[in-house]
Amino acid sequence: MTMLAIHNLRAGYGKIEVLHDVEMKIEQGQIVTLIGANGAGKTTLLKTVSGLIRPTAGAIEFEGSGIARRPAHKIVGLGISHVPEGRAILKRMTVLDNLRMGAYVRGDSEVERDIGQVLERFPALAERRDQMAATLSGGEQQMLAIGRALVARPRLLLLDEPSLGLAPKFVTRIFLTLRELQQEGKTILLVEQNARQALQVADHAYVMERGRIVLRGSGQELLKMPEVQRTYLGQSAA
Amino acid sequence: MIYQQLINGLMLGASYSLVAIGYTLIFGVLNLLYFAHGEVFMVGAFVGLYLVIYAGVDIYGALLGAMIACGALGIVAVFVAVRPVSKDRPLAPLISTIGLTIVLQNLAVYLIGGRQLAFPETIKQQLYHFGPVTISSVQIFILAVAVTLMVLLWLFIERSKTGRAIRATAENHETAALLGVDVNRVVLITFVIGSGIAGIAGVLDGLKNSSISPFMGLGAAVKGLIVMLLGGLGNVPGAMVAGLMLGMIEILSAAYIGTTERDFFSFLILILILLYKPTGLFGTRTIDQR
Repeated sequence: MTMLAIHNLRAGYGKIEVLHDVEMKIEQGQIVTLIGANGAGKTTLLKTVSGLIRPTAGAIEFEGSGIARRPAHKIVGLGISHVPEGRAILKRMTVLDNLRMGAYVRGDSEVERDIGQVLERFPALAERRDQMAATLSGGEQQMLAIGRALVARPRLLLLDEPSLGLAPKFVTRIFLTLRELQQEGKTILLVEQNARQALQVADHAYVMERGRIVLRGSGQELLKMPEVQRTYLGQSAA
Repeated sequence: MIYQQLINGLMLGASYSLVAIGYTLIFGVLNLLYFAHGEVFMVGAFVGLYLVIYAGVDIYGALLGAMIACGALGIVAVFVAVRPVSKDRPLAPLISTIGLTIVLQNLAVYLIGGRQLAFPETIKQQLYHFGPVTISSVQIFILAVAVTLMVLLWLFIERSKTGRAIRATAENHETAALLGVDVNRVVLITFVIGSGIAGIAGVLDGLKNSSISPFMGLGAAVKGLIVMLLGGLGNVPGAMVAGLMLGMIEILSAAYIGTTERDFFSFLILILILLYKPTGLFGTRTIDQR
C-alpha cells in the first residue's frame, strides 16, 4: 500500500520557491532516505508534508487522501509525526511533560502505557523523567524527540537529521532504533547528512539537488552510483 | 509593626500578582507586551461596580461578571488587535494594542466621565486582631480570592492538558503545532484567562481602595509590567511571587521611608532588573529572546 505520494509539489517561503515539481512515493513499512546538500530543500519538503509550509502547487496524499492544504496541528492527528531538525524538544518542560505533549492529539486511555514503553525503549529518559528537558545531553534530547513523536502513534515518521551533532554511540543507537521501528511496522522518511548509514538502512532513497529529485533507487543502488559516492559519500571514483 | 506591614504588603502584592499573571501568560505565548491589559483591569472594576449598583448582585456575582466580561474583552482584543496584524512584524501587535488601550480608556471616560466613583461596600467591614496584627474582613477576602485563583491557575498550567499546550506554545509555536496544538486557539484561551483574571483583580482593587476611575488602568499596567520583569518573562509562578515581593517592598518603603518614595522604589527595581538581571529573578528569557 502506498503510504505517502507526492506529486508535482511546489513550495517555498514567501515568493521564493524552494521545491520544484517534487515527486516521491513511500510504500508502507519502508524506510525511505532523502539525501542532498545543505539548502537542497530536504527540510522544506518535510515541513510541507507536515503542514508547516503550505504548498503553492501539487498534491500530497497520505494513505490515499489529500493533505496538502491542511494545517500542521491537524496532520499529526492523521498519523504523521515530524521530528524537526535540531530536535525541538520543549526545554522548559520536564521529560515526562514532553512525552505527554506527544499524546496531545490522543484522547484514549492507553497514553500512559505508551509513555511507559518509550521510557523502556530509552532507559536514559526514564532516569530523568522529572528533569527539565534542557538538562539532557544532545543524544538524550534526540531520543526524547523521537520518543515524543512515537507517543502520538504515527504510522509515518518524518525524521530530519536525527544524527546531527551526536556522539558516535548515539548515532549507532539512532540507526538501530530506526530498524526497530521499521520492524514494528512504522514507515519512515529520513533526511540525513550521514549519507552512508542512511542509505544502508534505506529500502528506497532519493537524492535532492536545488529543490528537485535528481536520483532515485534502492538504498544499495544509490550506494553504488559513482555520482552519489563522489558527492555524498566522500569517495573518489574508484 | 513589621508584621502588620508585611500583611499589608501581601494584600497589595496579591493584586499586582493577578495583573502580572495575565501579562506574563500573554507575553509567554505571543512574545507581546500586551499594553491594553491595564485597561482590561479597569473595565473589570467598572463591570463589577455597575453589577453591584444596578443588578444588585453580591461580591461573588460582581467577580464572576467582571471575569466573564473581561474574558470576552480578551476575545475581542485578539480579533481586533492581534490577528489582523502581521505576524512577521513583531512591533505591529504592540502598536495595535496600544491603540486598543487608548480606545478603551477614552470609551470609559466618555461613558463614565473622568472622575472617581465610590465602590459600594459589599463586604461587611470587620476588624480581626491577631496579637499585634489587625486584618479587616475585606483584606482577608481579597487575599483569599487572590490566593485561590493563583493556586487554581498554577494547577491548570502545570497539570492540565490545555495548560501543557499553553506552555508548549510559549516555548515554540512550530513545535507545538507539530504536536497537534492549534496555536491560534491557545492564544485565544490565553487572552481569555489572562483578561478574566485581570477583571477579577480590578474588582478586588475597587474593594480595597473603595473607589475606581477610568484612569486606574495605567498604574496597574505599570506595576504589572514591573512584576512580570521581576518574575521573569512568561514565568507564571515567577509573576505570582514577584507580585507579592513588590507589594511588600512598596509597603515597607512607604512605612519606613515615606509614602512619596513608594513608587520610586518600584521603578528603581525596574531599572535594576533591566540593567543587571534582564531575565528576572526566576528568569527564563529576555525581551528579544524567544
